[in-house]
Amino acid sequence: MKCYKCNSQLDNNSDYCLKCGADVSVYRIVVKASNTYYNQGLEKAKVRDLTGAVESLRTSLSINKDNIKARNLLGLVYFEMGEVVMALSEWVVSKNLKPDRNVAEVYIKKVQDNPNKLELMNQAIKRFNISLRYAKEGAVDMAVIQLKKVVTMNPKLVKAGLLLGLLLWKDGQTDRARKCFQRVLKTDRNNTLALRYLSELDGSLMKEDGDTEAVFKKKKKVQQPSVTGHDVIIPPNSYKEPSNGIFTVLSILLGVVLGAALVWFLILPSKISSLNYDNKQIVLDYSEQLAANSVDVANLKSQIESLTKERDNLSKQLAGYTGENGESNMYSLLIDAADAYVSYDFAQALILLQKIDVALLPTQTAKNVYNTMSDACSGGADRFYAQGTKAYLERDYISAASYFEAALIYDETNDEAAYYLGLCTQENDDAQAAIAYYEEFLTKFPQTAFAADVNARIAALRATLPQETTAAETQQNENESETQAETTDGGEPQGEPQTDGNTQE
Amino acid sequence: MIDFDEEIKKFQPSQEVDEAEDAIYGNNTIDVTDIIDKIITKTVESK
Repeated sequence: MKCYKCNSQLDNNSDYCLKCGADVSVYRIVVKASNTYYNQGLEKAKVRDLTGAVESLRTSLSINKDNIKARNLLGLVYFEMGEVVMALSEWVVSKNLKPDRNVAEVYIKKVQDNPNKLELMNQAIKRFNISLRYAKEGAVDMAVIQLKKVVTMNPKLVKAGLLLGLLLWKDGQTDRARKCFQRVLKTDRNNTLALRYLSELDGSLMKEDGDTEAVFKKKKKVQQPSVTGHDVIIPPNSYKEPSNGIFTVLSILLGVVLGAALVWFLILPSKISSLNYDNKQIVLDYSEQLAANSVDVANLKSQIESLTKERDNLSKQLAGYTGENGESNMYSLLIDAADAYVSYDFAQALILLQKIDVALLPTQTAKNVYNTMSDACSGGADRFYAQGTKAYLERDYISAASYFEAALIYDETNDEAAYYLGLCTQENDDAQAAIAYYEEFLTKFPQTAFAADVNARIAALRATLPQETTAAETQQNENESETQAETTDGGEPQGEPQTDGNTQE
Repeated sequence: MIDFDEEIKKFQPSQEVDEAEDAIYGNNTIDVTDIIDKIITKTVESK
């Protein structure tokens, strides 16, 4: 407790202020009395006896204006009764008396933070004032219309409910009037006017205890009121603020699940079917392309086969012309044979003629030439042997060699022809070649009668061969030195032409 | 019985928000403490 003069903290054991010395004994009693009335008002407010709470709290404040709790509670009670301005007035005064740590500031802020509701309550008060004026002027119907709106806008405005009930009662609408009074008693349980009007409405005065029972009984009776044509049924506002966000989250999740299910069962199948259709179309297109390509491949294969056959035929034809058995080759062989025949190389001609297929010669002239040469070269080995012998005796060793070679072609076992061919070789070629031929002769004909003679000839040729070689090399060296000397002198070489080694003997 | 006219006369208009300023300034702030203080003061002055 603080001093009412200097606002200093008082000592509980002293009747005087320790700071300013003021007599606070009576002040203590006053404060206690104020608190007592505040407690009464609090108890009444708890049981919604708003009228009684207002009286107690006003008494408390009239005793001690600094009773902040009583003033704040009074403001709350006024606000509950619909008297917004009176409530704000008490809270503002309370805040001015105690600026710090005052719950009145919270109440004021809540009202200011909800301007829509404040405006609604203000409009309700204005309409109530208008309807009161109508009622005082005698325009009951107008007043009733306005009051109905007021009750809708602010159901807790006690004065409006009482006035409406009174006017309805005056108009003879006792049931609706009773409803109005009962609605007032819901807000202000022990509202004197409402209780009185109800008792008058029922037509009898009730005691204190009986009043309560009668009120309860009447309440039980009116729980099933009769509805007349004049009744205006106001649907209760069933909107409730959600207690927490769990229901919101669950609702959202449920919506998501339903949306997903709708998509899965309605949208997805159509999408899948359209995709399948597109894929099928693509597959069909590729199949058509594949079929077309297959046809092209088949056509190309047949073309390849026909071209291959044609190529083979042409190759054959070409081979017929250019191959070993071709016409051009036959012509070539024929010409070569003719050339050998003209050169008296009958062996070579015979060999070439044997390679020619007369059936492949294209022209008759070629065939005639072939036949002529063939006839000339025919006769077998004996004929060529005889001609060779004749040419040998005439010392025409070259022709004789040809004849003997031709004879050997006909008869490879004719050792006489081979022997005389060796003699011709010895006469035509050098000793080295003759020795080689004789050795080959001995290899082919080891049992021949001419073997001894051939061996003797080989020995004789070999005997002459080294001397001939040394002399030939010496002569060649002398010629080279003379040539070099003449060259340094600027003259022309004058060496004698070199002959074979036989001249050295 | 209830006299409606008399009952209606008992109803007073409520203050609107526009009248809040006047209501705040007109709030009676005199209490018993002030009265006692005045009584004591007068008593002391009279002595």
